[in-house]
Amino acid sequence: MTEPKKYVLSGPHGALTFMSLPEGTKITTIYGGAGEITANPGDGAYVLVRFTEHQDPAVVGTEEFVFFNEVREATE
Amino acid sequence: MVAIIRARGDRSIRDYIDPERGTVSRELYVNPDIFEQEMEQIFQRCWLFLGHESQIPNPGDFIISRMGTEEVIVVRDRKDNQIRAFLNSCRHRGMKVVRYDQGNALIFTCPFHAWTYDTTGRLVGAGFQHSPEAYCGTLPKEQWGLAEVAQFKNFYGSLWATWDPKAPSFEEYLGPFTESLRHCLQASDGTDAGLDMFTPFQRHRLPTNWKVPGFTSVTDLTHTAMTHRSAAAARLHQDRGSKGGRDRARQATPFPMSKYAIGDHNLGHGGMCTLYHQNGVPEYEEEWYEAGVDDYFREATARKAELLADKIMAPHGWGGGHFAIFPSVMVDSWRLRWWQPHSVGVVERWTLSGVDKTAPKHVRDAVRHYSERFNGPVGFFESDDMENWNYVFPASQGARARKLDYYFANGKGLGKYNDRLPGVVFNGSYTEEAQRARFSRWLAFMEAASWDDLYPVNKAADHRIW
Repeated sequence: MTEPKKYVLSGPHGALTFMSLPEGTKITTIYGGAGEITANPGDGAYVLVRFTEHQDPAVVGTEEFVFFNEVREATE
Repeated sequence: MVAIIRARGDRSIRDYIDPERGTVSRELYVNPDIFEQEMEQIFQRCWLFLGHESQIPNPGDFIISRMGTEEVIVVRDRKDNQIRAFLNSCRHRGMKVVRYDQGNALIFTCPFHAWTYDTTGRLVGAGFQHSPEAYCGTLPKEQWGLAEVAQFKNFYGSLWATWDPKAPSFEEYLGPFTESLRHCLQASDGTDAGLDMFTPFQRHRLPTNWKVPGFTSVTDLTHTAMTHRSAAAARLHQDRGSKGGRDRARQATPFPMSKYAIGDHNLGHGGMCTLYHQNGVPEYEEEWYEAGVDDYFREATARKAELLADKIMAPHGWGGGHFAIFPSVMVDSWRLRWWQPHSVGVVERWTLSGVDKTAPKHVRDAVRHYSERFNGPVGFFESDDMENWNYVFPASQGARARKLDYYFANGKGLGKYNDRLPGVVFNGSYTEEAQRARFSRWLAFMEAASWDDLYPVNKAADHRIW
Protein backbone atom coordinates (compact mmCIF):
# COMPACT_ATOMS: atom_id res chain seq x y z
CA MET A 1 0.00 0.00 0.00
CA THR A 2 1.43 3.37 -1.03
CA GLU A 3 1.70 6.25 1.38
CA PRO A 4 -0.57 9.24 0.56
CA LYS A 5 1.23 12.16 -1.02
CA LYS A 6 2.46 14.66 1.53
CA TYR A 7 2.59 18.28 0.36
CA VAL A 8 5.77 20.23 1.14
CA LEU A 9 4.59 23.47 2.69
CA SER A 10 7.99 24.78 3.74
CA GLY A 11 10.88 26.07 1.68
CA PRO A 12 10.86 28.30 -1.38
CA HIS A 13 7.84 26.63 -3.05
CA GLY A 14 5.78 26.16 0.10
CA ALA A 15 3.63 29.26 -0.34
CA LEU A 16 2.78 28.40 -3.95
CA THR A 17 1.96 24.84 -2.97
CA PHE A 18 -0.34 26.10 -0.21
CA MET A 19 -2.10 28.42 -2.65
CA SER A 20 -3.07 25.52 -4.85
CA LEU A 21 -3.93 22.80 -2.32
CA PRO A 22 -6.96 21.08 -3.85
CA GLU A 23 -10.30 20.43 -2.21
CA GLY A 24 -10.25 17.12 -0.39
CA THR A 25 -6.73 17.58 0.95
CA LYS A 26 -6.40 16.17 4.49
CA ILE A 27 -5.11 18.70 7.00
CA THR A 28 -3.77 18.47 10.53
CA THR A 29 -3.13 21.59 12.57
CA ILE A 30 -0.50 22.47 15.13
CA TYR A 31 -3.30 22.71 17.71
CA GLY A 32 -4.35 19.11 17.33
CA GLY A 33 -7.17 19.53 14.86
CA ALA A 34 -7.78 17.48 11.72
CA GLY A 35 -10.06 17.85 8.74
CA GLU A 36 -10.41 18.24 5.01
CA ILE A 37 -10.10 21.27 2.73
CA THR A 38 -13.49 22.26 1.32
CA ALA A 39 -12.32 25.39 -0.48
CA ASN A 40 -9.09 27.20 -1.18
CA PRO A 41 -9.39 30.94 -1.84
CA GLY A 42 -5.96 30.88 -3.44
CA ASP A 43 -4.69 33.84 -1.45
CA GLY A 44 -1.79 31.90 0.04
CA ALA A 45 -3.00 32.72 3.53
CA TYR A 46 -6.01 30.52 4.27
CA VAL A 47 -7.80 27.30 3.40
CA LEU A 48 -11.33 26.47 4.43
CA VAL A 49 -11.38 23.26 6.44
CA ARG A 50 -14.22 21.03 7.63
CA PHE A 51 -12.99 19.65 10.95
CA THR A 52 -13.31 16.02 11.96
CA GLU A 53 -11.23 16.49 15.11
CA HIS A 54 -10.72 19.64 17.13
CA GLN A 55 -9.79 20.65 20.67
CA ASP A 56 -13.14 22.43 20.83
CA PRO A 57 -15.79 19.74 20.21
CA ALA A 58 -18.23 22.39 18.99
CA VAL A 59 -16.04 22.98 15.95
CA VAL A 60 -16.15 19.33 14.82
CA GLY A 61 -18.33 19.11 11.73
CA THR A 62 -18.11 22.82 11.01
CA GLU A 63 -15.93 24.80 8.63
CA GLU A 64 -13.26 27.29 9.63
CA PHE A 65 -10.60 29.19 7.79
CA VAL A 66 -7.15 27.96 8.80
CA PHE A 67 -4.09 30.20 8.51
CA PHE A 68 -1.14 28.70 6.69
CA ASN A 69 1.19 28.67 9.69
CA GLU A 70 -1.37 26.66 11.71
CA VAL A 71 -1.14 23.75 9.27
CA ARG A 72 1.11 20.96 10.49
CA GLU A 73 0.64 18.61 7.58
CA ALA A 74 -1.32 18.37 4.34
CA THR A 75 -1.79 15.06 2.56
CA GLU A 76 -3.74 13.84 -0.44
CA MET B 1 -16.34 64.88 12.53
CA VAL B 2 -15.15 67.87 10.52
CA ALA B 3 -16.23 71.12 12.12
CA ILE B 4 -18.96 72.84 10.18
CA ILE B 5 -17.64 75.97 8.55
CA ARG B 6 -20.27 78.52 9.39
CA ALA B 7 -18.05 81.48 8.80
CA ARG B 8 -14.81 82.23 6.98
CA GLY B 9 -13.73 85.66 8.10
CA ASP B 10 -16.84 87.72 8.02
CA ARG B 11 -18.68 85.50 5.54
CA SER B 12 -20.90 82.52 6.25
CA ILE B 13 -21.40 79.62 3.86
CA ARG B 14 -24.73 81.16 2.95
CA ASP B 15 -23.04 84.39 1.95
CA TYR B 16 -21.14 82.63 -0.83
CA ILE B 17 -24.39 82.28 -2.78
CA ASP B 18 -26.26 85.44 -3.73
CA PRO B 19 -29.81 84.50 -4.71
CA GLU B 20 -30.70 88.07 -5.61
CA ARG B 21 -27.93 88.44 -8.16
CA GLY B 22 -28.02 84.77 -9.10
CA THR B 23 -24.34 84.19 -8.39
CA VAL B 24 -22.14 81.61 -6.66
CA SER B 25 -18.69 82.36 -5.33
CA ARG B 26 -15.84 80.50 -7.03
CA GLU B 27 -14.56 79.86 -3.52
CA LEU B 28 -17.04 76.99 -3.28
CA TYR B 29 -15.15 75.20 -6.05
CA VAL B 30 -11.54 75.82 -5.01
CA ASN B 31 -11.44 75.94 -1.21
CA PRO B 32 -10.11 72.69 0.36
CA ASP B 33 -11.90 73.34 3.67
CA ILE B 34 -15.24 73.57 1.87
CA PHE B 35 -14.40 70.36 0.03
CA GLU B 36 -13.77 68.58 3.34
CA GLN B 37 -17.07 69.88 4.65
CA GLU B 38 -18.83 68.57 1.53
CA MET B 39 -17.42 65.11 2.17
CA GLU B 40 -18.81 65.16 5.72
CA GLN B 41 -22.08 67.00 5.23
CA ILE B 42 -23.09 65.71 1.79
CA PHE B 43 -21.30 62.49 0.90
CA GLN B 44 -21.68 60.94 4.35
CA ARG B 45 -25.44 61.53 4.24
CA CYS B 46 -26.74 61.28 0.68
CA TRP B 47 -27.74 58.18 -1.20
CA LEU B 48 -24.82 57.54 -3.55
CA PHE B 49 -24.67 55.44 -6.69
CA LEU B 50 -22.35 52.41 -6.49
CA GLY B 51 -22.86 50.50 -9.73
CA HIS B 52 -25.16 47.99 -11.40
CA GLU B 53 -26.01 44.44 -10.45
CA SER B 54 -25.01 43.18 -13.90
CA GLN B 55 -21.40 44.00 -12.98
CA ILE B 56 -21.48 41.27 -10.33
CA PRO B 57 -23.78 38.52 -11.67
CA ASN B 58 -22.26 35.53 -9.83
CA PRO B 59 -21.88 34.63 -6.13
CA GLY B 60 -18.57 36.01 -4.86
CA ASP B 61 -18.34 38.64 -7.62
CA PHE B 62 -17.19 42.04 -6.39
CA ILE B 63 -16.37 45.49 -7.67
CA ILE B 64 -14.68 48.41 -6.00
CA SER B 65 -16.77 51.55 -6.02
CA ARG B 66 -16.52 54.82 -4.13
CA MET B 67 -18.55 56.90 -1.70
CA GLY B 68 -17.02 60.34 -1.69
CA THR B 69 -13.27 59.98 -1.31
CA GLU B 70 -13.52 56.46 0.12
CA GLU B 71 -13.52 53.08 -1.56
CA VAL B 72 -16.24 50.53 -0.93
CA ILE B 73 -16.35 46.83 -1.76
CA VAL B 74 -19.62 45.91 -3.46
CA VAL B 75 -19.99 42.14 -3.31
CA ARG B 76 -22.61 39.50 -4.08
CA ASP B 77 -22.66 37.00 -1.22
CA ARG B 78 -21.79 33.40 -2.00
CA LYS B 79 -24.61 31.96 0.10
CA ASP B 80 -27.67 34.21 0.04
CA ASN B 81 -26.85 35.98 -3.27
CA GLN B 82 -27.52 39.35 -1.64
CA ILE B 83 -25.43 42.35 -2.62
CA ARG B 84 -23.81 44.33 0.18
CA ALA B 85 -21.31 47.19 0.41
CA PHE B 86 -18.45 47.66 2.86
CA LEU B 87 -15.75 50.23 3.44
CA ASN B 88 -12.53 48.95 1.88
CA SER B 89 -10.52 49.39 5.06
CA CYS B 90 -9.34 46.61 7.35
CA ARG B 91 -10.76 46.98 10.85
CA HIS B 92 -7.38 46.08 12.35
CA ARG B 93 -5.02 48.76 11.01
CA GLY B 94 -6.97 50.36 8.18
CA MET B 95 -5.15 48.69 5.29
CA LYS B 96 -6.97 48.60 1.96
CA VAL B 97 -8.33 45.05 2.01
CA VAL B 98 -9.13 44.67 -1.70
CA ARG B 99 -6.70 46.02 -4.26
CA TYR B 100 -8.30 44.73 -7.46
CA ASP B 101 -11.00 46.76 -9.22
CA GLN B 102 -13.17 43.70 -9.72
CA GLY B 103 -13.09 39.94 -9.38
CA ASN B 104 -14.54 36.90 -7.65
CA ALA B 105 -13.54 35.97 -4.12
CA LEU B 106 -14.25 33.41 -1.44
CA ILE B 107 -12.87 35.73 1.23
CA PHE B 108 -11.12 39.07 1.38
CA THR B 109 -7.76 38.74 3.12
CA CYS B 110 -5.94 41.82 4.29
CA PRO B 111 -2.34 41.66 3.10
CA PHE B 112 -1.06 43.37 6.29
CA HIS B 113 -1.84 40.97 9.19
CA ALA B 114 -4.17 38.54 7.41
CA TRP B 115 -7.41 39.61 9.00
CA THR B 116 -9.85 38.03 6.61
CA TYR B 117 -13.53 38.65 5.87
CA ASP B 118 -16.20 36.62 4.12
CA THR B 119 -18.60 38.00 1.51
CA THR B 120 -21.01 39.16 4.23
CA GLY B 121 -18.23 41.28 5.73
CA ARG B 122 -17.86 39.01 8.76
CA LEU B 123 -14.35 38.60 10.20
CA VAL B 124 -13.63 34.90 9.77
CA GLY B 125 -9.93 34.69 10.49
CA ALA B 126 -6.80 36.50 11.59
CA GLY B 127 -3.18 35.51 11.50
CA PHE B 128 -2.18 33.83 14.78
CA GLN B 129 -5.77 33.93 16.03
CA HIS B 130 -5.32 30.65 17.92
CA SER B 131 -1.69 31.13 18.95
CA PRO B 132 -1.05 31.04 22.72
CA GLU B 133 1.59 33.69 22.08
CA ALA B 134 -0.85 36.04 20.38
CA TYR B 135 -4.66 36.28 20.51
CA CYS B 136 -5.06 32.95 22.37
CA GLY B 137 -8.40 32.56 20.62
CA THR B 138 -9.83 35.64 22.34
CA LEU B 139 -10.35 37.87 19.29
CA PRO B 140 -14.07 38.84 19.33
CA LYS B 141 -14.51 38.31 15.59
CA GLU B 142 -18.22 39.01 15.66
CA GLN B 143 -17.47 42.64 16.63
CA TRP B 144 -14.81 43.32 14.03
CA GLY B 145 -16.43 42.82 10.64
CA LEU B 146 -15.96 45.26 7.78
CA ALA B 147 -17.84 48.55 8.18
CA GLU B 148 -21.09 48.13 6.25
CA VAL B 149 -23.12 50.94 4.73
CA ALA B 150 -26.07 52.02 6.86
CA GLN B 151 -28.64 51.52 4.11
CA PHE B 152 -28.41 49.75 0.76
CA LYS B 153 -30.85 49.66 -2.14
CA ASN B 154 -31.00 47.63 -5.31
CA PHE B 155 -33.35 49.77 -7.39
CA TYR B 156 -34.23 47.86 -10.58
CA GLY B 157 -30.63 46.73 -10.92
CA SER B 158 -28.96 49.98 -9.93
CA LEU B 159 -27.09 49.87 -6.60
CA TRP B 160 -27.21 52.71 -4.08
CA ALA B 161 -26.08 53.21 -0.50
CA THR B 162 -25.83 55.77 2.26
CA TRP B 163 -23.68 55.89 5.38
CA ASP B 164 -26.47 57.64 7.28
CA PRO B 165 -29.02 55.47 9.13
CA LYS B 166 -31.29 58.51 9.44
CA ALA B 167 -31.48 59.11 5.68
CA PRO B 168 -34.98 58.67 4.22
CA SER B 169 -35.78 55.66 2.06
CA PHE B 170 -34.28 55.73 -1.41
CA GLU B 171 -37.68 56.28 -2.99
CA GLU B 172 -38.35 59.24 -0.68
CA TYR B 173 -34.91 60.58 -1.55
CA LEU B 174 -35.80 60.40 -5.26
CA GLY B 175 -39.27 61.88 -4.77
CA PRO B 176 -40.97 62.63 -8.09
CA PHE B 177 -37.93 61.34 -10.01
CA THR B 178 -38.56 57.74 -8.93
CA GLU B 179 -40.55 56.90 -12.04
CA SER B 180 -37.91 58.48 -14.28
CA LEU B 181 -35.06 56.46 -12.78
CA ARG B 182 -37.08 53.28 -13.16
CA HIS B 183 -37.80 54.20 -16.79
CA CYS B 184 -34.12 54.79 -17.51
CA LEU B 185 -33.27 51.33 -16.12
CA GLN B 186 -35.81 49.55 -18.30
CA ALA B 187 -35.01 47.72 -21.49
CA SER B 188 -36.06 49.35 -24.73
CA ASP B 189 -39.27 47.31 -24.72
CA GLY B 190 -40.28 48.81 -21.36
CA THR B 191 -39.56 45.78 -19.16
CA ASP B 192 -38.04 46.37 -15.72
CA ALA B 193 -34.42 45.82 -14.72
CA GLY B 194 -33.71 45.09 -18.32
CA LEU B 195 -30.15 46.30 -18.78
CA ASP B 196 -26.68 44.81 -18.89
CA MET B 197 -23.81 47.20 -18.36
CA PHE B 198 -20.67 46.90 -20.44
CA THR B 199 -17.56 45.95 -18.49
CA PRO B 200 -14.97 47.11 -17.87
CA PHE B 201 -16.59 50.50 -17.62
CA GLN B 202 -15.10 53.87 -18.52
CA ARG B 203 -13.24 55.70 -15.82
CA HIS B 204 -10.91 58.63 -16.08
CA ARG B 205 -9.45 61.32 -13.87
CA LEU B 206 -9.83 65.05 -14.37
CA PRO B 207 -7.91 67.90 -12.72
CA THR B 208 -10.97 69.83 -11.61
CA ASN B 209 -13.46 70.17 -8.78
CA TRP B 210 -16.23 67.59 -8.76
CA LYS B 211 -18.91 70.26 -9.02
CA VAL B 212 -17.57 71.60 -12.32
CA PRO B 213 -18.69 68.55 -14.32
CA GLY B 214 -21.03 66.95 -11.77
CA PHE B 215 -22.99 69.97 -10.63
CA THR B 216 -22.63 72.83 -13.05
CA SER B 217 -22.46 71.02 -16.35
CA VAL B 218 -25.27 68.50 -16.05
CA THR B 219 -28.14 69.97 -18.03
CA ASP B 220 -26.36 72.87 -19.61
CA LEU B 221 -27.83 73.08 -23.09
CA THR B 222 -26.31 76.48 -23.84
CA HIS B 223 -22.82 74.98 -24.00
CA THR B 224 -23.62 72.54 -26.76
CA ALA B 225 -23.74 74.98 -29.67
CA MET B 226 -20.21 76.25 -29.02
CA THR B 227 -18.41 73.42 -27.22
CA HIS B 228 -19.63 70.69 -29.55
CA ARG B 229 -19.71 72.69 -32.74
CA SER B 230 -17.02 70.63 -34.44
CA ALA B 231 -18.75 67.37 -33.55
CA ALA B 232 -22.01 68.84 -34.77
CA ALA B 233 -20.39 69.90 -38.03
CA ALA B 234 -19.32 66.30 -38.50
CA ARG B 235 -22.97 65.26 -37.94
CA LEU B 236 -21.97 63.35 -34.83
CA HIS B 237 -24.48 65.30 -32.77
CA GLN B 238 -27.45 63.21 -33.78
CA ASP B 239 -28.49 60.70 -31.19
CA ARG B 240 -26.65 57.65 -32.46
CA GLY B 241 -24.15 59.17 -34.85
CA SER B 242 -26.78 58.29 -37.25
CA LYS B 243 -28.27 58.30 -40.67
CA GLY B 244 -30.33 61.34 -39.93
CA GLY B 245 -31.09 61.16 -36.29
CA ARG B 246 -34.10 62.16 -34.34
CA ASP B 247 -35.73 64.81 -36.42
CA ARG B 248 -39.17 65.20 -34.92
CA ALA B 249 -40.22 67.41 -37.84
CA ARG B 250 -39.91 64.41 -40.15
CA GLN B 251 -42.64 62.58 -38.30
CA ALA B 252 -45.89 62.42 -40.19
CA THR B 253 -47.77 63.10 -36.95
CA PRO B 254 -45.49 64.75 -34.39
CA PHE B 255 -45.92 63.26 -30.93
CA PRO B 256 -47.21 66.02 -28.62
CA MET B 257 -44.62 66.93 -26.00
CA SER B 258 -42.99 69.89 -24.24
CA LYS B 259 -39.31 70.23 -23.28
CA TYR B 260 -38.02 71.93 -20.14
CA ALA B 261 -35.11 72.33 -17.78
CA ILE B 262 -36.35 71.42 -14.32
CA GLY B 263 -35.08 71.45 -10.77
CA ASP B 264 -36.38 70.30 -7.41
CA HIS B 265 -34.94 72.80 -4.94
CA ASN B 266 -35.84 70.67 -1.94
CA LEU B 267 -34.32 67.44 -3.26
CA GLY B 268 -31.59 68.85 -5.51
CA HIS B 269 -32.43 66.60 -8.45
CA GLY B 270 -33.16 68.00 -11.90
CA GLY B 271 -32.19 68.22 -15.50
CA MET B 272 -33.76 68.02 -18.89
CA CYS B 273 -37.39 66.96 -19.01
CA THR B 274 -39.98 66.02 -21.60
CA LEU B 275 -43.63 66.12 -20.70
CA TYR B 276 -45.61 63.95 -23.09
CA HIS B 277 -49.19 64.99 -23.72
CA GLN B 278 -50.43 61.71 -25.13
CA ASN B 279 -50.40 58.06 -24.04
CA GLY B 280 -47.99 55.64 -25.64
CA VAL B 281 -44.56 56.28 -27.14
CA PRO B 282 -43.35 58.37 -30.08
CA GLU B 283 -42.96 56.67 -33.41
CA TYR B 284 -39.60 54.91 -33.78
CA GLU B 285 -37.15 56.78 -35.99
CA GLU B 286 -34.32 55.02 -37.77
CA GLU B 287 -30.98 56.17 -36.47
CA TRP B 288 -28.38 53.42 -36.72
CA TYR B 289 -25.68 52.87 -39.31
CA GLU B 290 -25.25 49.23 -38.40
CA ALA B 291 -27.42 46.68 -40.23
CA GLY B 292 -30.26 45.14 -38.29
CA VAL B 293 -30.07 47.43 -35.27
CA ASP B 294 -33.01 49.60 -36.26
CA ASP B 295 -35.06 46.43 -36.82
CA TYR B 296 -34.35 45.32 -33.24
CA PHE B 297 -35.24 48.66 -31.66
CA ARG B 298 -38.29 49.16 -33.88
CA GLU B 299 -39.73 45.86 -32.67
CA ALA B 300 -38.87 46.64 -29.05
CA THR B 301 -40.50 50.08 -29.34
CA ALA B 302 -43.64 48.45 -30.71
CA ARG B 303 -43.82 46.17 -27.66
CA LYS B 304 -43.28 49.17 -25.39
CA ALA B 305 -46.08 51.04 -27.18
CA GLU B 306 -48.43 48.17 -26.29
CA LEU B 307 -47.33 48.31 -22.64
CA LEU B 308 -47.89 52.06 -22.48
CA ALA B 309 -51.03 52.21 -24.62
CA ASP B 310 -52.98 53.63 -21.68
CA LYS B 311 -50.14 55.47 -19.97
CA ILE B 312 -48.11 58.63 -20.34
CA MET B 313 -44.40 57.86 -20.71
CA ALA B 314 -42.04 58.97 -17.92
CA PRO B 315 -40.40 62.34 -18.55
CA HIS B 316 -36.77 61.16 -18.69
CA GLY B 317 -34.83 58.63 -20.67
CA TRP B 318 -35.54 56.99 -24.02
CA GLY B 319 -35.52 60.32 -25.85
CA GLY B 320 -36.89 62.36 -22.94
CA GLY B 321 -33.50 63.62 -21.82
CA HIS B 322 -31.19 63.05 -18.90
CA PHE B 323 -31.40 64.25 -15.33
CA ALA B 324 -29.15 64.41 -12.29
CA ILE B 325 -29.66 62.82 -8.90
CA PHE B 326 -28.11 64.88 -6.13
CA PRO B 327 -25.24 65.11 -5.53
CA SER B 328 -23.34 63.77 -8.54
CA VAL B 329 -25.10 61.20 -10.74
CA MET B 330 -26.35 61.79 -14.25
CA VAL B 331 -28.97 59.34 -15.46
CA ASP B 332 -30.07 58.50 -18.95
CA SER B 333 -31.45 55.37 -20.53
CA TRP B 334 -28.18 54.38 -22.19
CA ARG B 335 -25.65 55.52 -19.61
CA LEU B 336 -25.17 56.28 -15.94
CA ARG B 337 -22.39 58.76 -15.30
CA TRP B 338 -21.16 59.82 -11.94
CA TRP B 339 -18.37 61.94 -10.55
CA GLN B 340 -16.16 60.68 -7.76
CA PRO B 341 -14.39 63.42 -5.82
CA HIS B 342 -10.79 62.71 -4.80
CA SER B 343 -9.68 66.14 -3.61
CA VAL B 344 -10.74 69.73 -4.14
CA GLY B 345 -9.09 69.74 -7.57
CA VAL B 346 -9.31 66.10 -8.67
CA VAL B 347 -12.37 64.13 -9.75
CA GLU B 348 -12.91 60.83 -11.53
CA ARG B 349 -15.72 60.49 -14.04
CA TRP B 350 -17.17 56.98 -14.20
CA THR B 351 -19.56 55.91 -16.95
CA LEU B 352 -21.62 52.75 -17.15
CA SER B 353 -23.19 52.21 -20.54
CA GLY B 354 -25.94 49.68 -20.91
CA VAL B 355 -27.87 47.67 -23.42
CA ASP B 356 -30.91 45.39 -23.27
CA LYS B 357 -30.10 42.15 -21.45
CA THR B 358 -31.71 40.20 -24.25
CA ALA B 359 -30.10 42.12 -27.11
CA PRO B 360 -28.32 40.03 -29.77
CA LYS B 361 -24.62 40.49 -30.36
CA HIS B 362 -24.90 42.84 -33.32
CA VAL B 363 -27.07 45.19 -31.25
CA ARG B 364 -24.77 44.98 -28.21
CA ASP B 365 -21.77 45.77 -30.39
CA ALA B 366 -23.48 48.74 -32.06
CA VAL B 367 -24.57 50.25 -28.74
CA ARG B 368 -21.13 49.74 -27.20
CA HIS B 369 -19.42 51.33 -30.19
CA TYR B 370 -21.79 54.27 -30.00
CA SER B 371 -21.01 54.73 -26.33
CA GLU B 372 -17.29 54.67 -27.04
CA ARG B 373 -17.71 57.15 -29.88
CA PHE B 374 -19.58 59.51 -27.62
CA ASN B 375 -18.10 59.23 -24.12
CA GLY B 376 -14.67 59.26 -22.63
CA PRO B 377 -11.29 60.69 -23.55
CA VAL B 378 -11.36 59.16 -27.01
CA GLY B 379 -14.99 59.94 -27.69
CA PHE B 380 -16.02 62.86 -29.85
CA PHE B 381 -18.24 64.59 -27.33
CA GLU B 382 -16.82 64.23 -23.88
CA SER B 383 -13.36 65.17 -25.00
CA ASP B 384 -14.89 68.53 -25.94
CA ASP B 385 -16.39 68.81 -22.47
CA MET B 386 -13.17 67.83 -20.74
CA GLU B 387 -11.36 70.67 -22.43
CA ASN B 388 -13.68 73.02 -20.55
CA TRP B 389 -13.78 71.09 -17.27
CA ASN B 390 -9.99 70.87 -17.11
CA TYR B 391 -9.36 74.56 -17.67
CA VAL B 392 -12.15 75.93 -15.48
CA PHE B 393 -10.42 74.87 -12.28
CA PRO B 394 -6.95 76.41 -12.80
CA ALA B 395 -8.50 79.55 -14.27
CA SER B 396 -10.73 79.92 -11.21
CA GLN B 397 -8.43 79.13 -8.29
CA GLY B 398 -5.91 81.96 -8.39
CA ALA B 399 -5.83 84.57 -5.64
CA ARG B 400 -7.62 87.05 -7.89
CA ALA B 401 -9.86 84.66 -9.84
CA ARG B 402 -11.33 83.00 -6.75
CA LYS B 403 -12.68 86.33 -5.51
CA LEU B 404 -15.05 86.46 -8.46
CA ASP B 405 -18.47 84.86 -8.82
CA TYR B 406 -20.05 82.49 -11.32
CA TYR B 407 -23.28 83.60 -12.98
CA PHE B 408 -26.23 81.29 -12.48
CA ALA B 409 -29.11 83.67 -13.19
CA ASN B 410 -30.08 82.33 -16.63
CA GLY B 411 -33.87 82.08 -16.40
CA LYS B 412 -34.00 83.00 -12.71
CA GLY B 413 -37.48 84.00 -11.63
CA LEU B 414 -39.16 82.53 -14.70
CA GLY B 415 -39.74 79.01 -13.41
CA LYS B 416 -43.17 77.64 -12.55
CA TYR B 417 -44.45 74.64 -10.63
CA ASN B 418 -46.30 71.96 -12.57
CA ASP B 419 -48.62 69.31 -11.12
CA ARG B 420 -47.11 66.64 -13.35
CA LEU B 421 -44.04 66.59 -11.07
CA PRO B 422 -45.10 68.07 -7.72
CA GLY B 423 -42.54 70.36 -6.07
CA VAL B 424 -40.42 70.64 -9.20
CA VAL B 425 -39.73 74.00 -10.88
CA PHE B 426 -40.15 73.96 -14.66
CA ASN B 427 -38.27 76.47 -16.77
CA GLY B 428 -37.06 76.99 -20.32
CA SER B 429 -34.91 74.13 -21.57
CA TYR B 430 -31.86 76.40 -21.98
CA THR B 431 -32.09 77.89 -18.49
CA GLU B 432 -30.02 77.05 -15.39
CA GLU B 433 -32.95 75.96 -13.23
CA ALA B 434 -31.42 72.55 -12.51
CA GLN B 435 -28.13 74.10 -11.36
CA ARG B 436 -29.94 76.52 -9.05
CA ALA B 437 -31.90 73.62 -7.55
CA ARG B 438 -28.64 71.79 -6.84
CA PHE B 439 -27.27 74.79 -4.99
CA SER B 440 -30.45 75.15 -2.93
CA ARG B 441 -29.97 71.57 -1.78
CA TRP B 442 -26.19 71.96 -1.45
CA LEU B 443 -26.65 74.84 0.97
CA ALA B 444 -29.24 72.93 2.97
CA PHE B 445 -26.87 69.98 3.41
CA MET B 446 -23.90 72.17 4.26
CA GLU B 447 -25.83 73.91 7.03
CA ALA B 448 -27.94 71.05 8.40
CA ALA B 449 -26.94 69.39 11.65
CA SER B 450 -28.58 66.13 10.58
CA TRP B 451 -31.26 64.63 8.34
CA ASP B 452 -33.79 65.89 10.89
CA ASP B 453 -33.32 69.35 9.37
CA LEU B 454 -33.53 68.18 5.79
CA TYR B 455 -36.40 67.49 3.43
CA PRO B 456 -38.09 64.98 3.29
CA VAL B 457 -37.30 63.75 6.83
CA ASN B 458 -38.41 67.24 7.79
CA LYS B 459 -41.50 67.53 5.58
CA ALA B 460 -41.92 71.21 6.45
CA ALA B 461 -38.45 72.20 5.26
CA ASP B 462 -38.27 74.57 2.30
CA HIS B 463 -34.74 74.75 0.93
CA ARG B 464 -35.44 76.89 -2.15
CA ILE B 465 -33.26 80.00 -2.04
CA TRP B 466 -33.91 81.38 -5.54
